[in-house]
Amino acid sequence: MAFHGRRRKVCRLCENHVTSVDYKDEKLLRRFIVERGKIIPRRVSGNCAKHQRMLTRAVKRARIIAILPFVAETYR
Amino acid sequence: MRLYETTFITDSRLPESEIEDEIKRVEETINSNGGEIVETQRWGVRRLAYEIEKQKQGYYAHFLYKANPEVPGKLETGFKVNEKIMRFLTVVSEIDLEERQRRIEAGESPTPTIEFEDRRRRRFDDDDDEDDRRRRRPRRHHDDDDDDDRNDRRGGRGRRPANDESKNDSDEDEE
Repeated sequence: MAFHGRRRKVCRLCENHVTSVDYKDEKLLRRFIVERGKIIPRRVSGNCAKHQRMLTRAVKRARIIAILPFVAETYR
Repeated sequence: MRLYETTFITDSRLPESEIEDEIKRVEETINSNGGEIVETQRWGVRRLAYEIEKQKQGYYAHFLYKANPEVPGKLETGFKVNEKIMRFLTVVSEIDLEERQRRIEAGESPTPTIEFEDRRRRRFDDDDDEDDRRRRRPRRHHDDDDDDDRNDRRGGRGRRPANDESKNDSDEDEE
C-alpha cells in the first residue's frame, strides 16, 4: 500500500475511562472481536497495551462460558 | 477472604426444581465454608456461543461471594463430578464492592455500562477517507467470495460474470 498517512488512533477504552473490563459484558467485548471470533489486534483497533490486556483476558474468559465463540462460522 | 465470581451452565432441559437444587448446593457450599454470598444471579436460559454437549442453549447462574481461597476449589471439584453442570468458571472478582453498593443505592445498575458513541462497527477512524476504503476492501472481497460459491453451484465452474472476475482480479493485485 502506497500511503501510510493514517490517523492517530486513540484507545477507545481510555476515552471512556474504563478501569476494568468485565467478561460478562458481551456487548462491549463484541466490539473488539471480528465476526469470526478473533480478537482485533491492537495495531488495528488502536487500543493501549493496558486495555488490550484487560480485553483479551475478558474475551478469553467469556469464551470459556460460551458467551463468546472461540471460532464462529459466519457463513457456510 | 477474597471476592470471587462463579458462573455455571447447566442443562436448560432440566426441570426448574433440579436447577434450583444446583443453585442451592452452591450457596450451601459457600455458606458452610464460612463464605458470604453477595449476590446470586439467575441469568436464565441463554444461547450458547458454541455447542456444549450437543446443546445450543444453557441455563446460567452466577454467584458473587466472599470466601476463603479453598472454597472455589471445593466448588469446582463438585462441578467436575456433577454431570448436570455443563460448564463453569470461577474468577477473582474485579468488582469494587463499595462502588457497587454506592451504585445500587443511587439506583443505578450495579455494573457500569460502557457506551461508546455510535460508529459503524470495525471502523476506527472518524472519517471515511482513503485508508478506510483501502482497509475494508479486502473484506468485501472475502464476502464476495462467499456469494460466488453460490454462483458457482448454480452456474458451474468458471462461469462467473465477466465484470465480477475483473473486479476480483484487481483486488488481488492490490494485495
